Amino acid sequence: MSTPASNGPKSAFNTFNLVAGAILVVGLILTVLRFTQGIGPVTNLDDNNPWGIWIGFDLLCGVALAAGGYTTSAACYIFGLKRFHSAVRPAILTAFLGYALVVFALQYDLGRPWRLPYPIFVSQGTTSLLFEVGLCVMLYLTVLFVEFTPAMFEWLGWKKIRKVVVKLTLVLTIFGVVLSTLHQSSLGALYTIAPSKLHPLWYSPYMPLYFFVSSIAAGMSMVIFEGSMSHKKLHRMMDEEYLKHHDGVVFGFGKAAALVLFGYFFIKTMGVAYDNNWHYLVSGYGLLFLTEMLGFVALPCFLYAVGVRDRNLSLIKKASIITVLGIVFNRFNVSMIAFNYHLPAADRYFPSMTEIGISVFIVTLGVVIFRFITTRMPIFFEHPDYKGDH
Amino acid sequence: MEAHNLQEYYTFTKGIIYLLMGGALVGVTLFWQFLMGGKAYRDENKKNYGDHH
Repeated sequence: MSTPASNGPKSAFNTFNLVAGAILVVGLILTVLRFTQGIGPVTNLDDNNPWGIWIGFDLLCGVALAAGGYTTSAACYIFGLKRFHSAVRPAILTAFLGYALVVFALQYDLGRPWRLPYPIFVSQGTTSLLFEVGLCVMLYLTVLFVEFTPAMFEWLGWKKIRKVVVKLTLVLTIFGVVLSTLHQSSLGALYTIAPSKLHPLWYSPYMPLYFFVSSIAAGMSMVIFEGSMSHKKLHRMMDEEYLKHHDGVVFGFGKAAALVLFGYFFIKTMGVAYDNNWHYLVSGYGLLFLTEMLGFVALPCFLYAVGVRDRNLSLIKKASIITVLGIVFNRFNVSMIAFNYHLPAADRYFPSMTEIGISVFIVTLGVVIFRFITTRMPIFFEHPDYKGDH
Repeated sequence: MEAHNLQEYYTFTKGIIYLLMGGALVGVTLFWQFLMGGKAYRDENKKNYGDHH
């Protein structure tokens, strides 16, 4: 019997490759435009809105949705829930690619990629939250890369170095959890500097806590969503061990996500009460806030709970999609829609087609690399040489 | 609610937060029971203890 790794895609000219190829070509053209024309001609950014979709989507959503890495490895290696082991490698790979693409996307915003090491190695702004975010992302990306390498070493057949890295698993997991706690919350803390710009329903001194707690729900939902997508499209790469645990992982993560979303709903309500912002709920922004809270927090929380009670996989998968969309909606609200809410309509920011195009390019790049790696390396299956070696 | 000074403002907001906290404590208990009940729980009990549990 052949191993899953030997069953690669049959033809290079399938629908996925053609669509992804077209997007990548357009993305490369837009990249050339961005780095030859400057940021002005290709974006709708201005002095009022210096941070746009590349920060709101590529960075804030990217980091939150990549949180599956630390939640899964913490559940498996720190809390000892070994039944989630089959989900660790896909989650670590998703997180690693997510963070790598966050750093990649940041280059479009900042320009001058050769200056990337400056804030860490040359001129540190140690009192800045951005410095802390940058330092954490750099360290966590390194940790994720090291956590990912055993799969790569198994593929390459480098047994000795793999053995060394596997011994570091627990230390790396602890590093990962600490670094994630720091920078997930710091991304929320960044916005506490702008109390007059961010709408009071979203602004709160508890924003670091909101970002951290919501990232846990986002990470677990992303593991369920990405696992379901992979289950559908990359089924041929999965071994019996992975398939046996798939449903258990979905139910376990669904249960945990329901509890986290329940807690998140309450702490967000506390935030409204803390600043006595109840009267804003009957405004236009209030409707937006209620849509976010009821439609993208309370609803998936309930769906997860019903799905877990009734052993309904389909319902849990639907809830995971709503939660993922909800996190994107929340980060968009904080960074763009409810940000600069007092400005007249003419001065409000809406991303240009080039900005949206580059974001689509980066997401597609992530999917293509994920597909490339999972169809070659032992991510969804155990390498025959290392069966049960974990 | 119209607060005339900081004391009144915090008395009001903290009062509301205490009420919400009370609601959250009751809510999380009920939600926990809801989440841990149902078919999954029954199936697990049946598996562990048979039909006589």
